[in-house]
Amino acid sequence: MSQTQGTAHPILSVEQVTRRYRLPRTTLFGEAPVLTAVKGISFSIGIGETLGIVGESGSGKSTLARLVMGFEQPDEGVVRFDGYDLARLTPAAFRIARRGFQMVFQDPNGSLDPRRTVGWSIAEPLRAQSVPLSEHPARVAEVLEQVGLRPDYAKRFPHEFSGGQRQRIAIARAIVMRPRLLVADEAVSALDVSVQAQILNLLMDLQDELGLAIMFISHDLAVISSICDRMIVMRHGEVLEEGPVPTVISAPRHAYTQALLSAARLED
Amino acid sequence: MRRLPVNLLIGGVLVALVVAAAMLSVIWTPHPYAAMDIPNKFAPPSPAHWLGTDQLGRDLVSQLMVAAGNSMMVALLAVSIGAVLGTILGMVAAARGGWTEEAIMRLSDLGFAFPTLLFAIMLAAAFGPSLTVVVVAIAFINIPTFARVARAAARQVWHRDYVYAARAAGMNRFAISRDHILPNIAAPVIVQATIEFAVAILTEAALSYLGLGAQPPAPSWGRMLSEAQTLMYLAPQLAIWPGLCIFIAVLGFGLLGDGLRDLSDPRLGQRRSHD
Ligand SMILES: Nc1ncnc2c1ncn2[C@@H]1O[C@H](COP(=O)(O)OP(=O)(O)O)[C@@H](O)[C@H]1O
Ligand SMILES: [Mg+2]
Repeated sequence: MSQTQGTAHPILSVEQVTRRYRLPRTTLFGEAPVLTAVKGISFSIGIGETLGIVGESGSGKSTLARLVMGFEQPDEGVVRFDGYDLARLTPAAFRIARRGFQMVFQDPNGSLDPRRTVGWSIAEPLRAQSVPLSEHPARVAEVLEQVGLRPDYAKRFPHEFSGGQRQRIAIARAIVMRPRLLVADEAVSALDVSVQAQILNLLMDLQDELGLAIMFISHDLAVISSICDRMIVMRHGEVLEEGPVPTVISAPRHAYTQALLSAARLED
Repeated sequence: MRRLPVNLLIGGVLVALVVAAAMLSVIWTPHPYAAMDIPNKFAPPSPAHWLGTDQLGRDLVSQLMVAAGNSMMVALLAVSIGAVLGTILGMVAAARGGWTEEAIMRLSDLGFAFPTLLFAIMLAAAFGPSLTVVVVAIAFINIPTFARVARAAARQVWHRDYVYAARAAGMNRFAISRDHILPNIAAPVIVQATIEFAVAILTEAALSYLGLGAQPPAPSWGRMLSEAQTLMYLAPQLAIWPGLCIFIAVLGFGLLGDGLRDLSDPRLGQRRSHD
């Protein structure tokens, strides 16, 4: 599945990243409480590699995804994409760098603007990156086929599709600029189990075709273990455990990982 | 399909009535609205004058119709200006955040605290009373209202995943505001505009009643009411009809706004479907 394992030339490297949120004041004169959602986390993802990030709800996975995507800035630490510190890029350079990393979201109902056609949404990265307009229809048709949908779906609106189909559309938008890293935050958690398997297969096929690296976030260890090379176990914003998936699963070092494991087995 | 709310239906009918009368007044009224006929003053309703005539023998229906047109025009201009400026400010606040947002919202608070009446009196003192003064005063106090509505709605939309996807694509804040925020906050803004339309009609009537708005001979429901006041015991109908018109117009737009809100608010919709 992956040509280049390990960290020889990581496509993404997250170095000692911390993110704090100031919460609403609880008393009139007291300090506003601070929640540290991500605490000094470090990891890297190799070219074409799939890294799983697992942890219960509230462990800081989505915050990590937002930091990697540059939606928020870390309070400490550095996020490097392809060697570049994202926080140091000029806005213009950052916009161009965005071609390289894209995201697939959890809720396929919320990730497509209900007022825009599917084709419009898929072409959004093309417009943002100033791809000549004449190329848009062909590129949209191409990615629709790549995700297993008919090209003429471009004219329709999101509400005409099922959850699984919408997730395919969201994936089509994410790959239209041929990124090198895909951040998938609970990308199958909102789908039926049978549809989950289809979307996971699609992601793996695309990974082979495009040489994509994937940062795959899930609270479900079963899903992670089925598609990831390596994994990180998170709790309370910290990394508890890291290693190749078979190693972590066969010999979990932490009671928390064991609990996640037995939860995943119970569900089967 | 959801049932059409009753308030939307009644509001729609009342609004259609007022708007139709206003539009018709542009091309036709039963009589020229300002034509005096002193011998025929205080005439009771008749086939020639459906609602009778006033103290100068002017046809009441014609005056009420032209007044409806003035009222609609003032409300339309004032609410449009207020809505456009306020919505832009609210969208800028939500898009930029930080001190820009803080500044815009604190200024809005200030504008909120400023009474329309006081502002209109100041304007009238400076520029003389006119319907233009009324338009400017109402537009001005509408800006903070729409800034708040637009900002609250826009903040929510900025946290939708499709906006994150647009940011991931590399779209800038202006493009996102234009492509995603504006279309998705249009519903609450339109609902607010309909409600503010009702308020504007009432405000115009009040300001004209106080002599700050429509000047003779331009008819206004508010001014008709104030002129009728002194004749209250002699000819109460002269006060009743413009009063009724104000009531119908305000009620109509109020109900319409309410109905539109019910229709556009998914939470209310869900609650209704559970009944
Ligand atoms: N914008 C925010 N403001 C305040 N607290 C937040 C914010 N985003 C996340 N958090 C908090 O940070 C912690 C981690 O949240 P999140 O990253 O969403 O976890 P996960 O995706 O693993 O469920 C949670 O306690 C959450 O309440
Ligand atoms: Mg999450």
